Amino acid sequence: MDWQAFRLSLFLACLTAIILIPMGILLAHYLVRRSSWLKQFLEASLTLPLVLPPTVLGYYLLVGFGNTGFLGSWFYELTGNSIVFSFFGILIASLIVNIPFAFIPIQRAFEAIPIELRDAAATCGLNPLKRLWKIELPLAWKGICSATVMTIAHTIGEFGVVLMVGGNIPGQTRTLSIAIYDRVQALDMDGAGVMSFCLLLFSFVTLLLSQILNRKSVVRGAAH
Amino acid sequence: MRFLQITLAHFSEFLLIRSRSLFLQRTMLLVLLCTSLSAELCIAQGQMKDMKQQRILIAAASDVRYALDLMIANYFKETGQLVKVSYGSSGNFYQQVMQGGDYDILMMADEQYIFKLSQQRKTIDRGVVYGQGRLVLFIPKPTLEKWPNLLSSNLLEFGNALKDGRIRSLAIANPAHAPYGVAAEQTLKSVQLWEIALPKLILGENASQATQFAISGSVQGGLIPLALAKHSTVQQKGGYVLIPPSAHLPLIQRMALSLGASSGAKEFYAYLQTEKSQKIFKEFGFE
Repeated sequence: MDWQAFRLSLFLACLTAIILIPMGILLAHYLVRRSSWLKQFLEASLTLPLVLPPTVLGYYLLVGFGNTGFLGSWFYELTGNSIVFSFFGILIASLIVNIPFAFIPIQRAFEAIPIELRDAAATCGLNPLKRLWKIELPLAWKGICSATVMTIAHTIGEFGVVLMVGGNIPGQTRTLSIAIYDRVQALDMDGAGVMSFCLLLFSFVTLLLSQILNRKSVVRGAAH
Repeated sequence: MRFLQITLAHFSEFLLIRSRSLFLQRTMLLVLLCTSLSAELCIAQGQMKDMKQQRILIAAASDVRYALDLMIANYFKETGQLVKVSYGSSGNFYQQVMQGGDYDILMMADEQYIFKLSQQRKTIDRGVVYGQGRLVLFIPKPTLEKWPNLLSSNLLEFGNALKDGRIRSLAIANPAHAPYGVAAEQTLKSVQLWEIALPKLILGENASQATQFAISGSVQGGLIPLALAKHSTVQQKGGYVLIPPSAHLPLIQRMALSLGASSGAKEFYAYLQTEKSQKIFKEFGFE
């Protein structure tokens, strides 16, 4: 078991979720029940990473953030470090890859809130911010939770783009899923087996947890 | 602009308002949990950064995997210094370094890559040779038990087997960026087998993956590095025969320090050139 890779995966996943979930909440809340070409455009681009092959994303990240790329060379001038083949690089990659996972469940949850409820809250004198905080967020809680779980689980499972943008550097970009690939190439099937089993268990438990969480809130909702 | 205002307002609202609702308690608990976890991990990451002066990170051609792992273990025993290494194909590492990949020592299976990097001022100098790699024909056990005469260095019987379909697939490293793949291609061309072998080739991302394919039992042969074929796991899975060096251009293995190499890396670089290390290289078939 490669604990360094495990720690790195977990760190990357938590950081991705912490950055993406608040952004997902604000964006989803902004876009819900808005109908304009801007909404269509934004929604399409936010869902894009879901269907985009990781290699396509990896290619554009390498071109854009590599030392010869526009952003990459600028960052290099500024800090003396390159973005690709570093932890920062795979963080950017996983932030982009996970946008749909952080965005879609939250948006669905906001959409499920009846418009009458918001109107009623408005007539009670709550301003839009208070409505969000006191009415909508507690109701969308389920969606936010499942977005967090999906983001974390998906980051830990991400492989293609991390390998392309991050290389396979121990302690920096060798996440658990890449460590498995590396162990298989080293003909260390036992090591790969242990890590694969851990990931299998982790993925199953996460999904189970999110299901249990969802059911509980449903029951509680019905009791009220 | 309006969007920005709303975003900012939302965010400050998110941080400032105190409410006694159950929801807030839950949120706080979650945030606390997440932050404590990430803080702990941050500290771990910070410690990693502190060690950057002593960081030794090697990009190594995958054929030196077992030899280098042994030397790194020896070095750790002697000095207590950790050495990190990433294995892959030389062409891939060349691309990575050109794109800004930050390694201390580069070990390439084809010296041309080191020369190119030194021309681009990515390495301190043109480096040193640590050996010459040899290619072997590996045949996995099940195939070998049926046709033991496949293993001959003139590749005559192997060629027949390719033609009559006894060998349905053959693992080699990707010639586009792996030096051993290039050598395999040259070898097959030298005995006029390239056209026949082409549809049967299974391309590994690097020599190490080609080896993994070759021993998996799903292919009937592989052209892989001697240094990997000497590993006990590989030897248990089949037999190999050396390809004569005249069949392909020499695989001269060269290593160099990158321009920003740490002082620790320089010491390990010197350690790789000691007699003890050279002996290990030889044991793994680097001549």
